[in-house]
Amino acid sequence: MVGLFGKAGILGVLLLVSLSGCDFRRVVVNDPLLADSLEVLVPGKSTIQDIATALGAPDEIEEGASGMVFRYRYGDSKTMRVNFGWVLRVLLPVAPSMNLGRGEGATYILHVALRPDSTFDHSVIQPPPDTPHFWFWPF
Amino acid sequence: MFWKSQAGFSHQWRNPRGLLLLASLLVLMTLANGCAFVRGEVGEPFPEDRLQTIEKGITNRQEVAQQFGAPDDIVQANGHEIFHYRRFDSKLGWLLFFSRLNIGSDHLWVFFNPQGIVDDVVFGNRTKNVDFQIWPFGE
Repeated sequence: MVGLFGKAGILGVLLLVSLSGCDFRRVVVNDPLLADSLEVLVPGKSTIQDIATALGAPDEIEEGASGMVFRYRYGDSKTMRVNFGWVLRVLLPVAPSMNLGRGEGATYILHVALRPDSTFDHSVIQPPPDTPHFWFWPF
Repeated sequence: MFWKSQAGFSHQWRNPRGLLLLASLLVLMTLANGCAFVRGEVGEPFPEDRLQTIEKGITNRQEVAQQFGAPDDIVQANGHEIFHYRRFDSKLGWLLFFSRLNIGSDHLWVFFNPQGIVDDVVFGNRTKNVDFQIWPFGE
């Protein structure tokens, strides 16, 4: 009775209705840090300009034990929320809010240490933390 | 004319496909509370012509300050005084239950020698990679 187009339409509407109580949010800060870009840096030879060409300008510069330390940051966070009260909007004049939500965030940090003559010495990149996931269960 | 249009309307109502389409449209319109594209900027952009005015070994502290104003930070590291200028750009795309906020930062670091003359300049432009995105999944 209802064709393929109709079935797809019904499924689409049902999916939209079921998702309406959901909320998916993501915040991304800066570009991902790529360990491959460090391979071009040679200790004692690569200059500040070489580092900037490979990695861009750092987010922070600090005084290290034997020279400067450049710090780069990349952040990624995901938040999901489900409003179980949304379904009651169909039955009640006022939809109560019954939310369950969870957010996960990861910060990736790269340190680049320089020698006193402002050439590249070494870098430290943290092992990538678990990629954040979308999930609503907070317990 | 009136009768003709009324007949057409009732004919459409008798057609289950048309009814389904209309119902889907109504549900979609109800669900589509709207969408949003929001942009936030903090700090002034760094025009290329102004960056070109900074010359290593020639430009002094005062001239840098005349071009870019007072720095956001002054860092002391490895015998250098470093002026730090920063700028942030953020773009939020939001549609129904999906949203993504991308944030990027530009950093200008100007290194001075003890005589107050520019020793090195590092500039990174990451805000040019910041796009409006809605889909929070994937990369």
